[in-house]
Amino acid sequence: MSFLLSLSCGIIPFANHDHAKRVLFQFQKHYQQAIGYSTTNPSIRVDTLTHNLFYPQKPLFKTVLSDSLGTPKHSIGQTSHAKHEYYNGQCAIVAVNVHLGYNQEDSLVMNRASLERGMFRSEHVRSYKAEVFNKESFGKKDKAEDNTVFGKIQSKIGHVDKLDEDGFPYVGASLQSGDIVIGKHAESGSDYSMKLKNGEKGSVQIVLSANDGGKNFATVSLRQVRSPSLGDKFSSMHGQKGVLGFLESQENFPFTIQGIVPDVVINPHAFPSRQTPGQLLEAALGKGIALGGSLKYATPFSTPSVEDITNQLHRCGFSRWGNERVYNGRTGEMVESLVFMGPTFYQKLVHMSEDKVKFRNIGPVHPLTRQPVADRKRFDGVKVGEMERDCIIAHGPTANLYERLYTLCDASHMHVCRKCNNMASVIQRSVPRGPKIRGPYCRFCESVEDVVKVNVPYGAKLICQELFSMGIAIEFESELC
Amino acid sequence: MEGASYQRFPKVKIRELKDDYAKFELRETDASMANALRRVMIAEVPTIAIDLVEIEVNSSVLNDEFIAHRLGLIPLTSERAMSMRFSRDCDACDGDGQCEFCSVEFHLRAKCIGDQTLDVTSKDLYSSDHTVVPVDFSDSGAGYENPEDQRGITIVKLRKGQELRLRAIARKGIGKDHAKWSPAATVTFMYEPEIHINEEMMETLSLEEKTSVVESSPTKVFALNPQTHQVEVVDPEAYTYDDEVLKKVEAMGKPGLIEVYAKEDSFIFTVESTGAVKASQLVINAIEVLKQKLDAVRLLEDTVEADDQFGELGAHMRGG
Repeated sequence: MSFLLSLSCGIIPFANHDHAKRVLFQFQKHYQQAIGYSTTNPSIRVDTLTHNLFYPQKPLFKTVLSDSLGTPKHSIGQTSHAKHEYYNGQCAIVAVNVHLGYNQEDSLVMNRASLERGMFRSEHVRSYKAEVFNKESFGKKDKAEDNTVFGKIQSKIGHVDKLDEDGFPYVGASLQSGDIVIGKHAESGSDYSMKLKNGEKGSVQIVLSANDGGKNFATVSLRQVRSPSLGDKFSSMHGQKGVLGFLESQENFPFTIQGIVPDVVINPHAFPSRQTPGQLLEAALGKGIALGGSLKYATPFSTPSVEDITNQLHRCGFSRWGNERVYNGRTGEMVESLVFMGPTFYQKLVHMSEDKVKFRNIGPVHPLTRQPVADRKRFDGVKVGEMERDCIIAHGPTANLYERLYTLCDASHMHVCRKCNNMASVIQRSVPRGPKIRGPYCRFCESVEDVVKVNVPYGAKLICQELFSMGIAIEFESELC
Repeated sequence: MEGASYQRFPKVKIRELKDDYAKFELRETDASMANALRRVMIAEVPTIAIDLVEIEVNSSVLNDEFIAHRLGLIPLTSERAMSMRFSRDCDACDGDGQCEFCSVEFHLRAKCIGDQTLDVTSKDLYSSDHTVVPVDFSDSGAGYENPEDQRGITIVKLRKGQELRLRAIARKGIGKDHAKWSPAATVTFMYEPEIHINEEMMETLSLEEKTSVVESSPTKVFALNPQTHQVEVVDPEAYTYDDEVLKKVEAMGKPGLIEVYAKEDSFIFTVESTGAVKASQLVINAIEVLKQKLDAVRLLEDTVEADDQFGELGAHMRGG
């Protein structure tokens, strides 16, 4: 019966207790986004981008399908123990509770001590590849300009301190964004180096130079180790995703009589509308297994009954329904209500805040509109659109809005003739019996008498000029102040 | 504020003491003190842990950061930690934290030559100071049957030709800065429960009902006396405040048959240490740290002039 499900779906415990939408969610989206340990030779591979979990764990529960995973070792005549597959998550002690409001709206609170002890730590390797001209290859005409070679030259586009003479960084070098990863230049001296874009950094893991199919190329891979930080995404096996909202110290968490402190605290509001009691069953069963219970399987459609799970917990000396009496970690007082706690299999997903942060104060702007360019790798900012602007207005800080949107962003000025209400552009003109002067001048009135300077946003000025160029003049009524 | 004295004289009774385990009662104080003690044990008792690793050669399968992280988590014997200095306020060395007052140096050299996989463990770490060494778990009575298990904490496994060579510096720190400096594996306490059985009401129950009451608690708190057929409290401390019995009694329609109160002023502590300091020493150090913190508050109160800089806040802190 359980083999009717796919591989990733068949290892979801109690999938038959969950809403079908959540199960689909889990095995289509979350399962393939989870960071696991996908290869046995990560230190010699050069993939464009890989993620590896430091300490992958096997879930506490089993399913019939998970038993079939891994490669069986065939010895003569008999099959010995199967080689276990690395899973893509870890068993976390999960409490269903509110935690100072830091787990609202599907965020979760994690125990900093657990993270410091290595929970959900992962390495991320990104490779950079560059090609050079191959002298030995025939058929191509020699153009001095195209004759690129690897090598270190003083580059204008980035720092080359970490590069060796051959143009490659040494293994173990720590590169920051803006540094050159691969030094490359033409024989003419022009620079073709490869630079790390904004947000890319790491220490060098592999430097490889090779010849493949008549092309000379080199690869440098950078490794980065990450411990979970605020905004990283996690998911349980039941389509319950959430982002990390707060890292709390161990001593501030509620603790049980045995001294158990949760690794993760999730909000009880995640359950009623999502209809995923499977996660609660997983936690309750997991708790029983961790205590040495004999029920171990959570195969979809042949799951143990709720009664069996509660009885197992009772036998192990725990409250039937998985609830525990906890003490408040801050005050030491007993918490009035019981808290549901149990080990749950959690996955770290590839969406991490470090790859997504956007912020800037100064940076490149578009030459036409003088507004920031839209590309995260090029120091993009966050767009404050109409709706965002409306929100700020609604909250009332208009002076702040004026400063952010105008003074610091788009401030510009233009000239207006108060006589004819037309725009007066800055031109160079000659005055009889005098030197040429440059300044605002009204071409309609042929005077400078009533020309005033007005402060306008650059965007407004630009559209006036564009309309003017199409033969539409805009009249400005102005008041002196 | 003035006049009333809130001074109390808490009593401690030790029940069980092992190297890495302690169980004691703390009486005649309240939850704030008990919890302060617990929090200090977890987060503020100093130990020594590896903080800086210089890797010379690493051809193992684990990357440098991985090994450095694993090294940091190895518990080191830290009896000296209370008298050591934090490297950030050490005068003897100019902040680089490499002198005898604030740091201990370790070396590790391992290379696998044979065909067998070589386990590099905490026993391969050579310390420059014999008082600060990786914790040896072999004599803690953990009952290893296999001498192979006594090899210490595995850092990395090497295959033929792989090599690991590094220099590490251990420093003093507290659990608040990083969990690796926390000397506590588990610190917890419970309120001492007081369980009352309403004997009169209990007599109205049949034997079967009595058995179901006894068995409704997941832990062995109650027992049925085989001679008198009376429900007795055999081990009140086994009660985990899980309310299971109370719910059962309520479901039977006999509320008040069993009542449980938590004594507000007595606590039963369980302390397990990582091995960095002995469990008993951990408690004593925690009290010492707590005293130092309280002294800091008292000094603040004595110097009223110093309070001027806090303005209204200072008055508030004095309780004005």
